[in-house]
Amino acid sequence: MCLRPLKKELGPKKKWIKQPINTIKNLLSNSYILDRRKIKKKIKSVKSKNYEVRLAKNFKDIDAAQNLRYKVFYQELNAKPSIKNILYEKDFDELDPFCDHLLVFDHKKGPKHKSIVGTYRLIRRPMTQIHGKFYTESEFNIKKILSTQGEILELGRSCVHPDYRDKPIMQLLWKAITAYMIHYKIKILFGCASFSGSNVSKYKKQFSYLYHNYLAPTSIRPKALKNHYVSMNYFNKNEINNNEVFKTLPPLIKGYLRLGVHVGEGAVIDKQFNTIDVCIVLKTSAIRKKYLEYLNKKKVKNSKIILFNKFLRRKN
Amino acid sequence: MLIVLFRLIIFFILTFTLLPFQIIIILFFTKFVYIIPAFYHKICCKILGIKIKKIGKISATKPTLFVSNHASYLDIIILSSLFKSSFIAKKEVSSWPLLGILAKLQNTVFIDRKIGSIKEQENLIINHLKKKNNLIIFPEGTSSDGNKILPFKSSLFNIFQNKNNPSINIQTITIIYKKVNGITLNRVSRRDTTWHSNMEFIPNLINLLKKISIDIEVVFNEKFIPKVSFDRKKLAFFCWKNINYTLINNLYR
Repeated sequence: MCLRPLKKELGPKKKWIKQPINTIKNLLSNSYILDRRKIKKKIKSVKSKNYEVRLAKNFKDIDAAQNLRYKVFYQELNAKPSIKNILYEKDFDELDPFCDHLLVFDHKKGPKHKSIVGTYRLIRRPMTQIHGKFYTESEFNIKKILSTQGEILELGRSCVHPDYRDKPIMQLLWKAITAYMIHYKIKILFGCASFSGSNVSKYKKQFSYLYHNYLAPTSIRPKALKNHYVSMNYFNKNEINNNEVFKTLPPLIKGYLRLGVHVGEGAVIDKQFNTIDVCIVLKTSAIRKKYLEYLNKKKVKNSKIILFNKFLRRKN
Repeated sequence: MLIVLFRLIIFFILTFTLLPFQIIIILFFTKFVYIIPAFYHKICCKILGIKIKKIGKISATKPTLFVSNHASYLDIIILSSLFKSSFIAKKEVSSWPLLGILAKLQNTVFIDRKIGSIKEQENLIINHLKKKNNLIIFPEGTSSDGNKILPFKSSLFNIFQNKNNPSINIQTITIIYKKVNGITLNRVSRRDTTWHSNMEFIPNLINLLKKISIDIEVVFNEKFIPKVSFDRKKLAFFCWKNINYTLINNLYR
């Protein structure tokens, strides 16, 4: 009998060694584990009177985000839940454990996790090294974006609690996203934006407005997958009154357009979520100045926002 | 809350259908005691969404004394779904509602933890092992929070000092709580999922039933036959070292 601890049967350590060195190097070079602490601090500095913005720390935070998503998507916007969704009262998929979840809490509303008010889901390239896919890839062909150099960020699953739609939650989220963007030196933003309902004829004008005015440059243009493809070109450019149509767009897409977002070719009907999705693309180099000016000018009513402007100015 | 109800209903249907069969078996056919519990615990794992990753070989020689760390009542379900054996428990467990009956049906050895009754404990354990049944002990005495291993109580290792007793294999097991809902746990969130110190049972159970999945690693270390000359305290420390080594290597590498 030996008194030394037995070293032979340690499975996981061996596996770690077996992995090819290249992948480990890649993981370390843009690891999202190593510099998470810094970004957490930066995002936490986005503060308002009683609102707190931060990244999810553990499974409880992510649970809270999933619960909010269930409330908004399934109970309010009539998405079709699966049996699992109903049982758990959550909206979840296999991507969730690998993503960064941005959360907004209102401390006046209630105890810890019941006070969640808004979420956003962020996916970067190193996260897909583990799982293998972006969410948008299931609906759009985004190979052109993937082949570009530099970091890319997918946005998705954004939602705000129905009682807080008239409050500056979305702006807080976007401020945090800009901090995130600058920290990770992100070159391209993309994601799905959705029109509610699955009736295409309702949105013919809006689609053609987007198609004519905001189509992405061919070098990064995403395209809807063939089996989901819905055309966006219904009217000529002359037939549309731009100002009128812009007012009828859903608020999230309006916000995106103000940033200077481009739109991919073709739309996709998402039957599970009862929406029509449009792929949006945004080169950060194009928008940064515009948006930063917008941030500086507009201060939100009734809440003192301690901006992290100092940080942003330094970077630019 | 729907999932909690759903899981509880399935659990109760399962237990009360299998209960009468197991009672008959334990009264008349003592050879086949472990068949139903193994099946039952495997299904319990499915109901709770526990995914077990097994590392290392389980000792096949009978009888073997398994020494394991203890962090939650889930340990019992996990271990008995992997191999056939029974547990050692304190005497108070036998009078707990439902759990006491379930424990008795799995041939659990109940011991008195008073100071004077060490010889009785020894006899009970050795009688059990002589029938060529495996045993699992949790020498920590209570459950830890899963981040560390508490010091072992050495009184149960006394059986190896007696020369009249047959030689028995020891295998140490490390149970590691890795992920909840696919997300790797950190120190704080692991402390919240396990059941330890003065936590209340029912809120902890409800929290557990809400979870989508729990990933657990069970590491089986190499088995060994302790020498008779070995001190019981040294033996306990050796087992502790073994388990601690694998746990720390897994968590804080």
